[in-house]
Amino acid sequence: MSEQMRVLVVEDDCVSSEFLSATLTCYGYAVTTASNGREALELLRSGQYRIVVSDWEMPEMNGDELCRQVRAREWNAYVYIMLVTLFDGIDHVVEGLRAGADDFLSKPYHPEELRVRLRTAERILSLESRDVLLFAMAKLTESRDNDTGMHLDRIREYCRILAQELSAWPEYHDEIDGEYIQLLYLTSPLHDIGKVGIPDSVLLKPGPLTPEEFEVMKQHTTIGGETLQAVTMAHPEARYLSMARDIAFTHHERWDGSGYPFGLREREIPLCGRLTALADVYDALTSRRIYKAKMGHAQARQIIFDGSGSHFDPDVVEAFRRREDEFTRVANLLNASPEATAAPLAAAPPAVQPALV
Amino acid sequence: MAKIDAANLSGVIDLNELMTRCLNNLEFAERMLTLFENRCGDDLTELERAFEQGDVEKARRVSHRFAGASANAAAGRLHGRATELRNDLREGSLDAARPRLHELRQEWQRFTEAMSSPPLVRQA
Repeated sequence: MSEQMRVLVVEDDCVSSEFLSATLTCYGYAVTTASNGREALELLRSGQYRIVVSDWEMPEMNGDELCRQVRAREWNAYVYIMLVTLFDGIDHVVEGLRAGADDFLSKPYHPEELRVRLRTAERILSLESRDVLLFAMAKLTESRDNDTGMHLDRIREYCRILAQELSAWPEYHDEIDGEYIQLLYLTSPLHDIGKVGIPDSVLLKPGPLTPEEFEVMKQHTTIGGETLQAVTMAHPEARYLSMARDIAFTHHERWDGSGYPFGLREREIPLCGRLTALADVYDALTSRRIYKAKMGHAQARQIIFDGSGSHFDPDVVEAFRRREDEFTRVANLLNASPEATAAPLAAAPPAVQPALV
Repeated sequence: MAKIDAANLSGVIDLNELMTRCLNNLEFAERMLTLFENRCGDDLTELERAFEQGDVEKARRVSHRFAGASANAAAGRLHGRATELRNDLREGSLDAARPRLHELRQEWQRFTEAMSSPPLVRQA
């Protein structure tokens, strides 16, 4: 633990309380004690405690009632509650879980069991922190370019559809599992996070970019990738960070090696980057921008098909072909409605379309 | 602070279990035994008062606490007596539970005698 996790021990018996406190302190937790549920609720209001280890039977307020009260209130962050009880039998387990407890421990507990259960609690709480962090970072990206509407929501849906399709192919079985799809769903909205470092004069320009401006715009891949790389180095065990980094770096790489920033080709490009590339282009084509009208699905799919083997990974294009109905459904559901409001493209595309960078 | 004497305490405390629960820290184990002895002595007094006052709910609550503390302290026989008492009190009758209180009191007597006996090596 880099920072001590605070644990609130709620126990009316001083012997049991001392056992818990001393054990948890020895395991590296910062422990505070309360002698009943009411006192615990007051302490929880400080917002300092994410984990509560509580006895069941106590004066003034029992552990199950404490669970109910905690769940009935809005907290800044999830509070994980472990009930410690002398009672055995399924009835108590059911009653406790119904009240909102997350876990149970029977007295007398083995210290090692307590330790591993708390590690589980920490893992679960860290998942919440991860999702909040990713959401905040994605929103930061969006705040710089509010012309894109629900772009980020659609991107992650498109990525999920493509990954789910490929996961059923034998050659992708080992690479794409449920966790991969979930991480891709969470991290693909960060593909353009580097745009926070692009000047407004370029990022928000309502027309074609000059070659010099395009060079500046291309830097969003390295700005985003290097930022996430720094975080990844600090937390090498966090797989979601390395995937977010790969997506930020490589979502503009092309299958034939003509993309940027590195000119990677074919399978040198991480799969998450190849998937996001197609999702990003499809969404850009089928969305209205200040400088262009929406393109219909039929026209967009043809551009995608034409790009197979040059711009896009042929397997990803094939996955798109098999699941394109789902693409149109997502587009309609998330307000991109390509068929309903499609308008012809401007007669001649600009030298560089901002939507495609 | 109570000093652990394995020979004296072996009949009332499972010392291996206690040491495991105290992370093999002797100072921790001795501190817990002292706390347990003081707290449960008070609980027993409170239990007897609850019986005198006819307060079943209070007696059940204190016996439950006693059972939890003795389980934590690896005092298996005390834990057994306290649990039997608590279970009888759940039925709601103090009179029916009174023999259990007596058994708990006797077991407590054994425990305190073991705790206060001088180490066997010095007795010899």
